[in-house]
Amino acid sequence: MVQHLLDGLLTALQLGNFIYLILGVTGGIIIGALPGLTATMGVAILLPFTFGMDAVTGLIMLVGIYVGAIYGGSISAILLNTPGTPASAATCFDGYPLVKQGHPAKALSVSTIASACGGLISCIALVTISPFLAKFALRFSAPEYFALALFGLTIIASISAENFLKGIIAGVIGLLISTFGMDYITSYPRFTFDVVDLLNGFSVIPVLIGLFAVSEVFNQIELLIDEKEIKTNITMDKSYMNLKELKHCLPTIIKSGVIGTFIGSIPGAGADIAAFVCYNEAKRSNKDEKFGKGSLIGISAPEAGNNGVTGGALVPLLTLGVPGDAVAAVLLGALIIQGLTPGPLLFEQNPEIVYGLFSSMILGNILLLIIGLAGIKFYSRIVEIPKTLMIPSILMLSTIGSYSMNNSLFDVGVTFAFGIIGYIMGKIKMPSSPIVLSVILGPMLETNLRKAVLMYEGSYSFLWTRPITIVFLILSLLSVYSALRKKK
Amino acid sequence: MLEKIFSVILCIISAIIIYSANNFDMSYIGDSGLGPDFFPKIVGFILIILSIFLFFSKDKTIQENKNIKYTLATIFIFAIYIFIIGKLGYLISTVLFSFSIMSLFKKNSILLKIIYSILFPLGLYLLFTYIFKVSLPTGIFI
Repeated sequence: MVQHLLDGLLTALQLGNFIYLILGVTGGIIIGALPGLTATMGVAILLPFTFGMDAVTGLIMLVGIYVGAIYGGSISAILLNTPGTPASAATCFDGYPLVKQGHPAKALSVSTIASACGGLISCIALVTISPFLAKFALRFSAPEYFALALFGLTIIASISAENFLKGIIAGVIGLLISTFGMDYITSYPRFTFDVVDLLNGFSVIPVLIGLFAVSEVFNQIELLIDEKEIKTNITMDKSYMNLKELKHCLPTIIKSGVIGTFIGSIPGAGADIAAFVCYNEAKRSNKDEKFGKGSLIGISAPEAGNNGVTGGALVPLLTLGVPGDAVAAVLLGALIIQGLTPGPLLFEQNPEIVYGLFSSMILGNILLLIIGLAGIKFYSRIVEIPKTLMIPSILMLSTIGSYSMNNSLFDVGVTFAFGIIGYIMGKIKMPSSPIVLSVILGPMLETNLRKAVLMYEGSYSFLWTRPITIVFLILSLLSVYSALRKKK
Repeated sequence: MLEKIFSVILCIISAIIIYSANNFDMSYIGDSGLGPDFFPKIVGFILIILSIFLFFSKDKTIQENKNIKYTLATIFIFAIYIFIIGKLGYLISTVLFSFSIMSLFKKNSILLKIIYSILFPLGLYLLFTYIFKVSLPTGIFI
């Protein structure tokens, strides 16, 4: 394993790959820092740029964007009191007060260090746990994958705590979308209405560019018309975080990194949830700290937590083929485009890709620390980029992105349609990430259920005779139960 | 209100899905356990029940935004853009598209609009055509 990791490190350090990693991290930070551009959107609209690269290089760049964008969200959260990505909402609570007291550099350096540490902690978990999990998952067959997909779907429901019903509906809509096109087992064309382009169903990438990029643009336009130009007017006090403060925050950073990794590795739960859980945990365990008034612990907890998710989310993605959150779902799409099937076999067949990914994740977090700290002086410039330029740019990137995957204008139409669907869903406060997760989990659920029934010649006894299946089914029941109880 | 309409549409779509799944021509598939109609039917059924719940739940739709006409204009321009890409070619239609979208906002100067609307699409065009080797749609123009 160490050998593989070293090989991976050498791959990631090849000049070309390394430059793309730097570009990815920097681009990710900028995208994350711009309010309204989320990490999912960033990875989705920049994904087409990797189509032409070879698999490893493309993935290295995407991982860089992912890591950078989750961190970048904290920049506008701190400087503008507006989270750049939902994952940084909790960072506003203590980040902005510290800026108002005249210490923006301190707030930003705390968030940079916490983010990089959280990310590195998650990398350790990723590198050590994944190979074992992959080995374990080699024993999975259809019944286990069915139960696993079901578990993933119930998690989607339980994380939509804010509105349980709407979260489930979004998830089920995704399942419905996944049934369009040729049936995986019998090749029967379902709901294609004689449209040739629909034979393979809706491609995931255009669907999610529509849901996460185009719909967001439609939303932003309304807000933009009345908005005044952003001027930060920040007086920079140059002092960064010092060693004593780092020592003070370190226990929280480590704890949050671990919690974030854990939350990230649960299919369905993403960085936004992790950030809030970590913030609340820090609040609970640091009673004498003044939260909400510029506490450094209050900044480091959510930031270490949301970057902890990045490595965690890749664990189920690489070992089981189940994305840990919406961004991981995009990465899954990227792997599939490159002709790779994420899952336990990936570790045996393409170790260079898996370990290249691991190493670029580690390097990405180190770069994050360097670029992040060096960039602090320039951040106030990024957040001042006018949105009136961003709106047409995102639409153009979305169009060319959805087109270039299959050279198909039909896919552009799909992006457009899902942009409108996402926009309407936003209006009725229905979350859109469950759709993407279930579009991906849907075929896994259906195909494996039917394969399992075939395997058992029409009997359903696999539901109670296979231990791993039983465990996943019980976990699914528990997650639904806890979600319902939380609601009451 | 929007929520009610949404749930009604969802209900109708689910009904159509169940109906057409019922009419799948299964004659040449033979017995293959749970057929291709099994999953869509279950999902459609669940969706109907859920949309009924949604219909009768308390509506929390966001207040109508008075700027909604800008969104509608964007959607309209986007639709035209997708339509003309294949007719006029990628580059020229994207330039027109970018300029029209930017013209919705009164904030930028005309010069910036023109320069940005030419440079950004041109950059994308060159990048995708010559570096990524994607053949972008051509029409009367490129």
